[in-house]
Amino acid sequence: MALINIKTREVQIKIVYYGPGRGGKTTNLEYINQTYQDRIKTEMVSLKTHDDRTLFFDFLPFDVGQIKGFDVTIQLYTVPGQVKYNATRKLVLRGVDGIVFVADVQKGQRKKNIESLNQLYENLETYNLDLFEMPLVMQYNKIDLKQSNIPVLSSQTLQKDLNGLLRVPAFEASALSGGNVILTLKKIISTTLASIQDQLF
Amino acid sequence: MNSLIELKQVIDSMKSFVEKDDIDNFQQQLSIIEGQYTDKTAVISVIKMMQSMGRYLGSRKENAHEDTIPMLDSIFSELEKLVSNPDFTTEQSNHILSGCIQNYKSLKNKIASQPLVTATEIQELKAVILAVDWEISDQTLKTFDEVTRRLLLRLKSHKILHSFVRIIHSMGRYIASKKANAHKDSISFLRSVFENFEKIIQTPEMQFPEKKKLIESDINAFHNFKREIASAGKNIPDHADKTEDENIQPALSHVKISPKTAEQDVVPLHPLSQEKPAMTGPLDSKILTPALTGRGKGLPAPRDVMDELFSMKESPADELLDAIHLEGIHGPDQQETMNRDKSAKELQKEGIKNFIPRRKDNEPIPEIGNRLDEFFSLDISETDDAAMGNKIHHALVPEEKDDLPASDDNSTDAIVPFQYEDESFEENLDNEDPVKEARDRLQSLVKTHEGSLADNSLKIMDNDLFHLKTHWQDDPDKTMLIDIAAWLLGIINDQPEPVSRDARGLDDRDTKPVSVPPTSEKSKSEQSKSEKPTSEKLESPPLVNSPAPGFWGKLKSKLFS
Repeated sequence: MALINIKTREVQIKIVYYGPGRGGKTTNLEYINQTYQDRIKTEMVSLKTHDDRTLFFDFLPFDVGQIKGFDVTIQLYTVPGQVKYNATRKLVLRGVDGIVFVADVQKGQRKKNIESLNQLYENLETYNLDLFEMPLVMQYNKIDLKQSNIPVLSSQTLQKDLNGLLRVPAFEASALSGGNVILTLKKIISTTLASIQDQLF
Repeated sequence: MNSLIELKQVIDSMKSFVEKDDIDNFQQQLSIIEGQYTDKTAVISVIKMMQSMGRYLGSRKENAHEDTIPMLDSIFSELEKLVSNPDFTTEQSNHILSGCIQNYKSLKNKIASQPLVTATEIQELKAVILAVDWEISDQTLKTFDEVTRRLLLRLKSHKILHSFVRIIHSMGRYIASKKANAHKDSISFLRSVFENFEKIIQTPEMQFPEKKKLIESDINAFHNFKREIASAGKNIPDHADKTEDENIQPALSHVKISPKTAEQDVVPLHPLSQEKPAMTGPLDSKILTPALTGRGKGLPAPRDVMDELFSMKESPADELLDAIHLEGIHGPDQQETMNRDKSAKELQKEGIKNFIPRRKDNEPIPEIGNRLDEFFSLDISETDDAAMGNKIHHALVPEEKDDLPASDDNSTDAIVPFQYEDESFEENLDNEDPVKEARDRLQSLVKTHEGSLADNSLKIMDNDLFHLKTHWQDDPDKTMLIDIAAWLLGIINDQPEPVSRDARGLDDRDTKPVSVPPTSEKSKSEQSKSEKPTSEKLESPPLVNSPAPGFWGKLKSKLFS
């Protein structure tokens, strides 16, 4: 839930990058951190296993500045994608304000994308949150693999599989090169802030 | 040569091997004898039995019942007696005839009761089908072909059984040609046909209609199977596309039914443009390091999680780590842990509110987009998009573009106060601007002092507000905000005029509640129009760098009178 301190005029929102393992959630945050290092000025917390997979979560907080007199702080989190870490995933989702679902466009990952999104719905239910009412943005990552002749799912299939019911903004992306990473982030922040702007601005 | 002697020789020759010529010769000799004894009823009847047995031998040859030739030989002996003894009485002739009829019927029953396919042959056929099911190899397929061909020959005159074996044989040939690429139902269909065939063989008492029903069912299934193979052959999907073409239930379809059909109205997508860089703007001039470059080298080593359990918690991430380690999320208390809302204690703090964001599909106010564009340096990028005619992207975020306020300082129609602040801040990033300094100092003082302000701070703030007001004297919105800020400062410190060194002569109006001036766009616009021209304002008493006497007094009287 968004923390709003009327006294100090501060707003803090929590964005969680969710999706199947090896989908590029951490890469999204690493790109953001490296690209805007001079503006973010905070340390990215990233705890990984030896094979470079997210063990607990990644954490990247930063201030975007003032909006209508409110200092807005964004906290970006990722969840561990591996199936066995669902308890950690649930915990990271506690107090979430907005979600970026990072799907892997490789054909072999089609079922995992769907399973992960279904699990996200169930995990949010444990906090009495409804995915259909949550600020959400879809990101179809690794679209650049198409150029390497690696079979990727068509955008139409991805939209039908993942966004047919949710109908939220969706971005093709290449987190490794930064393609659409920032637009995705901007979209989720603005969507989340828009959902609480009646209370604030 | 006597026909009887010749008939005997033919029968003897058939004891070793039955050939067509023997059968023809046999039938011919019987016809001759029949012509010679037309008035002897017993002889004619015996000849009729022998002709029937001859036809049986001709059809089955070496596969004829083993008792056929001996029986034929025995009956021939009786025929020879009747022909050789014309003096036999009718009674004697009938006696010999009844003996022959008994033997004939006995043979007929034996032939009728003989299984068409032996148990060994059934087991052999079953074995080759199972072998093909286990492994489709050249050897198993060859054995399969041999066994089925043998049965086809054997059951040629048994239409129903022959049809079963034909289906089995055809299926074997299809599997042999396609091998591992054969239809996935091929083997199961083969086994089902064999089961019906076996059922008929092992149930001699089964009536013809039931047998007919079984074979008709299998023939129909066989035709359907052939059609399925033919249609599949036309639409064999590319192996690489198999995953995509697979009919998979979309995500969340188990919790919500789409109001629309699957094929229509898919949400448009923001494509990734290959031509333009991911980000443009001020950071473009920098050579950006791709993400993950130097991973494992420059980045700090993984933190020692256990050590950090006992350290001071400085960020939400630290608290979350503690929760993972200490709150038993993997244990029986998992549900309790999940539901424990740590922010509840935050709620108790004065002035803090919690909101659960709910997607409203409303557009963010322009200030949000502007602030984010500025932070992420996306202004130019979006302009580029428009220039490139990126229709899809444009169509998806039209409101953000359309609602952008004019950034031209000269335009007063779409002024957004803090946008000016931001712009001036950006414009003077590299200069030691006194306005920026004053603003930063004010922000710092407001943030760090929650209670009453010290006299020194009040003086500083007073000066800074004065400088800002002087600098923004042509901007009525900003000057008005400064006035409000100055007034609020006084209220907070319980001093009617804390920042004013020159308004001591003001009356009680200073402490009375003041209604905030209208801030709507319309009123702003009207107010802007009503302001005096800039040139006139510049002619006002000098306000730069030194506090003007009576400034606050003039200001307040102007504002609140």
